[in-house]
Amino acid sequence: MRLNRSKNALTLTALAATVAMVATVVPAQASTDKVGVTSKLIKLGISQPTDGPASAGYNKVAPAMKAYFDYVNANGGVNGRKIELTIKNDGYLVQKAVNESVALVDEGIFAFVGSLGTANNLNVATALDLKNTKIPSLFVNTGYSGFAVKKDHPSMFSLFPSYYMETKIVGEYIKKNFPNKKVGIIYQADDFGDDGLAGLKQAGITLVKEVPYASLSQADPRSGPAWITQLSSAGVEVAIMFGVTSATAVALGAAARARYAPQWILGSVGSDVTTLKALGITDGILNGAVTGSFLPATTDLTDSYIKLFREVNTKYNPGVIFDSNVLAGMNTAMMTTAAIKAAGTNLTRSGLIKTIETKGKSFLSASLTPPTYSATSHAGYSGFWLGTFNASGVLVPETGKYKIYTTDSAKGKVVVSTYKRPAVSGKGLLK
Amino acid sequence: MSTFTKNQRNLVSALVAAALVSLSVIAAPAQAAATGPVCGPSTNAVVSCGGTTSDGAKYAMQVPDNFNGTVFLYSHGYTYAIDIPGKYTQASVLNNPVPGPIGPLAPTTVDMMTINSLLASGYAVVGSTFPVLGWNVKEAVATNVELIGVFKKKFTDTKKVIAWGESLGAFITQALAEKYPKLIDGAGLMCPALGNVAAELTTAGDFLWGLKTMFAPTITGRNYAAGQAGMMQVYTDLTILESLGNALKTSIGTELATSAPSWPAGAPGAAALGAVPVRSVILYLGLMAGIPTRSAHFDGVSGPGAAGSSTAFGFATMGSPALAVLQNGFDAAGLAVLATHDLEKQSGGAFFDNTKTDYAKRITVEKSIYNTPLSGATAIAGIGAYLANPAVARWAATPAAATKFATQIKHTGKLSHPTVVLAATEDVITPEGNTQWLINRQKTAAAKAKLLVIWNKPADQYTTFTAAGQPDASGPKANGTGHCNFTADQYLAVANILSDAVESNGKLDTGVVRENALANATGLSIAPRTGRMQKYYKK
Repeated sequence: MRLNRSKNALTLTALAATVAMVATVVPAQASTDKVGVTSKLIKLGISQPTDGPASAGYNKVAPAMKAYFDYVNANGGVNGRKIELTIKNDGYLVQKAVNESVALVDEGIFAFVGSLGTANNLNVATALDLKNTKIPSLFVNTGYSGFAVKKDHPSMFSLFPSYYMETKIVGEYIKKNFPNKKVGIIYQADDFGDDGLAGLKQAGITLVKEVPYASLSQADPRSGPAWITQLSSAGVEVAIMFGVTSATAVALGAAARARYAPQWILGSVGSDVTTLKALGITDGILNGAVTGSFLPATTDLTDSYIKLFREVNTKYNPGVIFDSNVLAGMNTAMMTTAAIKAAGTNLTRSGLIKTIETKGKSFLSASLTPPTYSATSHAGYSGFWLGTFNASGVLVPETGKYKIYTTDSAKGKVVVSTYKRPAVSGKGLLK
Repeated sequence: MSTFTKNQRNLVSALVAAALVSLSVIAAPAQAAATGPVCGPSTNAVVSCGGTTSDGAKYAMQVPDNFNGTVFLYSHGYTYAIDIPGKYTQASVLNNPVPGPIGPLAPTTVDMMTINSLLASGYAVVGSTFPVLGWNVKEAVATNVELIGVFKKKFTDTKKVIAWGESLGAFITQALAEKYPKLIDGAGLMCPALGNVAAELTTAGDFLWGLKTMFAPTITGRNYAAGQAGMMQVYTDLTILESLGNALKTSIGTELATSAPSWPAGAPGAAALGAVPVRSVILYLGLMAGIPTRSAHFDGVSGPGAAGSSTAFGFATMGSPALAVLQNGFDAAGLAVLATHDLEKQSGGAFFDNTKTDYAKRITVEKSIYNTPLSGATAIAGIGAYLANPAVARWAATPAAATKFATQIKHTGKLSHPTVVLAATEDVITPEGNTQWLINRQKTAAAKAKLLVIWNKPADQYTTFTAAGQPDASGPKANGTGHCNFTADQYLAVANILSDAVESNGKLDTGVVRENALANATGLSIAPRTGRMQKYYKK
């Protein structure tokens, strides 16, 4: 006998035939290693803000990734499979990131790729227990060094050089170019900023003023003037701004209004020119500021990767200005394509993770330093070049060409990289 | 059909206005001869019977005329072991046995749909009050063993027994299944407490200690006195909590409106942490205790104003997690007061101990996830330093009491029958870590095949706002939040899957029966997911 709900008097046996025709088959828990892969398709997912106050600039990353995958698909896909990228809008809210990531898993994705933000990725990693479920989370869009630690995040891979590496390199740059100057910093008071602060201290930089700010407090109109007052009162001559782009805009704008003109050094996260301009920062204000990048300049038309990505952007992402966010998205997609290609035709989650660990150093990538993946580390790129914005808002390398500094996220020295990145040839597709 | 008065309580909000009118305690009834069952005539095709087991527990049975041979033995949840004047009396529980789930607690409603549906489909139902209230696993298991025998003797055509229960009742059910596997054929564990009770009381105690330390130094919280003096302390604590909850709600509302910290008067934490918003402190206390950041009315996503607007984003980021912790945390704090008082009596003294707890370490990951609503690294470090200050008194256990408390019945996690768990992902009283504990203990394919976990999951967004843009917590609890907040259809999904299993050689269906049961209820999912373990859990 089957149980009936007395009010409706619906017999389950009668209902069974109907529901059986439409019921979703629940994926078997034992075979998760191949979820999201068919003979013709690979399903990937990304959670990032596509609208809302925290989306500025970032909302261009996922569409750029999708554009690159469209380009790959139009040219035969990878190992005979097309790549499908599902984009979810998490509004840069930690709970929504979990909700959307659960939805992606329920929709049967093979892997996350390029998901944005330290806090969001940590919440997803915790709530979905990525450590044990081993769902790959590839090339997360954050420089938080913790995601490179394999024992904590065995299925996650960093891509960007860590914030710690970045400020170690910046520290050496300051010692060389601005000796005896008073150095101060405005930084986001979380793992992002703490990583950056620690790198500067590792480089031996003495900070005469540290101005921490809580994330989102830059929206308070009192914040910018207060930061600048603290720096100027301390006599800071070299001011480091280590925050997101919206905070950089607040700091630069407040400084300009106060006629305070230190030598600005901007963290790479907060220096996207397109976004800064959209937030009211003119070329004149930006002129002379120093920042770093691990990718070629978006304006460098002599770079084979930039040339390719611009062509892809024109055809598959029409109407979108090619900037550092688009570049980052396309490069992430290129790395993903390379990883999937290298994992072979029998694509599994565990196989993909193993492949990145063993072959990731040689994946095709626009970065001017290679990834550093290994069996023990999931750290991505390891270096930056530094440049100065000119009067037209173009970032010009310090010596006229890219001089790449490389280091690690520990106590290793900062050295000039000897890496010779192979040029991308033809369509840049992997054969 | 018969109706039952809604006198059985699960662990729910203990924020009561304690009019200190009468103080009473009901002692465990003396051993007496069993009575009954005495049955009435068939009414609406159902025979209702009542009686008393030898330990004095009253029971109720209902058997349909078309009894199919399967009976559901129900174990109710935690019931307070003291009277709460004007709100609750132990006598109201002990005189009114309930043979099945009667829906989420709502003081004036009783949902008979589950019981009536079982009866209409030919199933019998039975349940008792148990002889004592409070944490009563040992006594309740004994009552259930006797009650199964009484039922089978009276209704000799009984073929299968399905034990099921809610909250503490689920703990009792699993304990029964482990100790007397031959007496039952299937088990339903709803909003279950599993493993041992220490994790729940640690979560609740950590949060309560945090409230006392930061905001309300007059909270007693533990080491309650014996007898009526102890009950007076309990009532006083509940009164303080009610007042404090309202004050903190006002503080957070003010802070969200003004962006300036607003500490309630007399809060000891204000001197050192006055520059830190109260909402950040509350969130910190919730995270260190393991309180969910989604609650009955706060989803962590919604905000007033247009979707994607700065206003909506700001509320969802800064306000919602703290308000959720506030809402959840005071349920946990109520549990801490009532259950701690109860179990201290049983253990002979204080068992909660946080003298060695490193609260800052507890939130190593969470402080990164919630850095923004916690007001940044400086504020986080400040709160952590305040809690770790040796001048801030910790709560130490009485060694003998802690030892005795540790002897409380524990589960092994072994499953001998088809077992269905129904668990809410945002349950604050019995968090999802309980269910994950049971999942983790099924190591072999055969063991895993005996367990089906049904998650009751909230919608992604459910917070509502008034026309003035204020959060509105006046509506019903969202599905997947609260404690044992289930609909009749959700209970019946469990019943349906279990009844099929016990009638199908003890195997849980993985096809159409399961699909149908889930399709008939909303909000349920068996998609593979991992429940977060509790902050503190003894292996």
